[in-house]
Amino acid sequence: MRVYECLRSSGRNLLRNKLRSFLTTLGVAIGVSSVILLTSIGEGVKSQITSQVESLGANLIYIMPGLFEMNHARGESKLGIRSGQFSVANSTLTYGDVLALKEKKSIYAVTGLYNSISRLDDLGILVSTTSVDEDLPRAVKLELAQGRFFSRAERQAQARVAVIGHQANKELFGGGRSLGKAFSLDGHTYTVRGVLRYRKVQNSGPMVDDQNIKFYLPIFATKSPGAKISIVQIIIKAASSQDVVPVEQSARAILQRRHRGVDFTILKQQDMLETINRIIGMLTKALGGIAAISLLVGGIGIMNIMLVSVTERTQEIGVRKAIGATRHDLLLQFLIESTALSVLGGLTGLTVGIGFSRLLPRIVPDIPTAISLPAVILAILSALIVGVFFGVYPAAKAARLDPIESLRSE
Amino acid sequence: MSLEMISVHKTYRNGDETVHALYDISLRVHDGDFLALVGPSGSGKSTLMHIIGCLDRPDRGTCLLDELDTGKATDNELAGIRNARIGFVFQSFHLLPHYTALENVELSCLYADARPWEARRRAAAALAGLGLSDRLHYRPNQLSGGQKQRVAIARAIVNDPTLILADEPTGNLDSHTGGEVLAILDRLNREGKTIIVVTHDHDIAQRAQRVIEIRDGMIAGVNTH
Repeated sequence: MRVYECLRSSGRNLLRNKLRSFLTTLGVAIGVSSVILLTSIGEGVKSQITSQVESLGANLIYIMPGLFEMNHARGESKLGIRSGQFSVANSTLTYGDVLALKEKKSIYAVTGLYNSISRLDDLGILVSTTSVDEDLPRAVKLELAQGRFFSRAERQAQARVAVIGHQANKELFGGGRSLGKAFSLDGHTYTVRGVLRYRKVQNSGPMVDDQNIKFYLPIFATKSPGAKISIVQIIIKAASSQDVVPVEQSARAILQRRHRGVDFTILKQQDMLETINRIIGMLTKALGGIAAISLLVGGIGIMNIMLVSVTERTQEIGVRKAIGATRHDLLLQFLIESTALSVLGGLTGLTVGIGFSRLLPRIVPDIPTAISLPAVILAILSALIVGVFFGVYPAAKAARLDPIESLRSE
Repeated sequence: MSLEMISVHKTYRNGDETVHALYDISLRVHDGDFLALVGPSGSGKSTLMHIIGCLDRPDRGTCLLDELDTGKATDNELAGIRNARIGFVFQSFHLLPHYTALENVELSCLYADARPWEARRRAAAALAGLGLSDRLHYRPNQLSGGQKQRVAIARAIVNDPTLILADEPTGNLDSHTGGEVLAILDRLNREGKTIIVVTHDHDIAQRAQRVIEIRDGMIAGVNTH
């Protein structure tokens, strides 16, 4: 059986030159493992950011005061943006807008957000407070360790109640059960209704969000009821992901009517996610591409060693031809050898790549990884292709050798 | 194996110079013949052997092996003929150094598409026939010159070819083991195989029924014993 002999001779040769086979395999293994490792880092970062954005709550729509359009102005200059009256200080969004939006059925939850700095009299320091309404826990994920979020009735009654973060509870009350305990902000006494569960600070660039130091107050609690409140952000949660676009349109219509014009900007979480995913996807591909270069170098290593092997075994090739081996037999014999090297390298690289991808987050917790199946399949497949591609030339060279010349060679 | 060469020419280009290795060779070999090709080195006898052995093709003229024109056969057909009908015995044995005696002999069977166990059985039988039963698993470097040549002969005859081509088969052996190898060739000839030996050695040539002397690519003389 010719195939049996091709397999046998390839196997023997690889085993006889163990160091050489090992080093050649290593070249491919490094290529494959770096493709897998780098793409899994890319995928890991992508899924971490996605889950962070989604942990803020899904199906979210944000309304900001001021109009900013990122397309450049029509006409002469390509510089700048079309308009940018973005300003928190002169926000025209009011709580009346929020209440108007609450009428809409397809809106699952809507809350306005207002930040201010208040004096925490108990500790004699300034703290940042966030005034929201009772819909906040329905819109974004908030986990409470104790108590509950304040209610609509409390907001309407302008009750001085608060939901505080883990760190705030620790510093004010020593971290124990503190429901019903009181503290003083700007001379007013507030009663604790709930304490947030400890949450690790998620450091994702500009989205630094430390839940542990929050003071959530009912939206009217910080100002006298009649005073005009400038809302910095309205958060809307659509009832479902299909509702996001219609909700955005009706919110735009409602606000346009109330404001007699467009002085606000609507951002959808879906858009932000898509943009982020697109950018990270691009980076992942670029990283994978760079890693693929090392796979190419590994392939050249295979070709190099196969050429050496053909030269060393010229006489053997002559003998095999004399006793009846065809070109096809020799082509197959050397192709099996190069493919075996690359597949072995591919499998080693697969193991090492997946191993490192699993290990990396344990060593460096800031680098998340997620092994992507398509990338793994692609890496193995390209190792196989590399073996065949870079093996063909040396194998064809062996197959083409003239038997008489080969027999004479020493 | 009947062999007929009609006006065979072979030229080589050596740099700018064209070398006539064979010039108008016509030759007929019958089944069961024992033929010796003699001549000084460079006379063209090796080239002649390569053409007879289907390792090379004539430039002009025809070489018919059992009615098949080797000049017109494809590489694969020639490989098939070498495997099934011709057995080669070389001066420097040409055994694969990393294969055992058994594996070296098996090789011919495997290229004939025999199943691995069948190849093993036939190879062992061929080696046993040449008195090498106790050397099956030795590598060439563990064998003496005479043993190596006997392994090579086993490899040549394991597919039961009709023609044995021996190129200076005793060139690397002392006179005693050389004699043993020649005795084996004699025996194979008596068993009906056609033997063609290329040699310098007139003692070997004496054993042949016919001695063809090649000089400058041409047949310079034929002696029949």
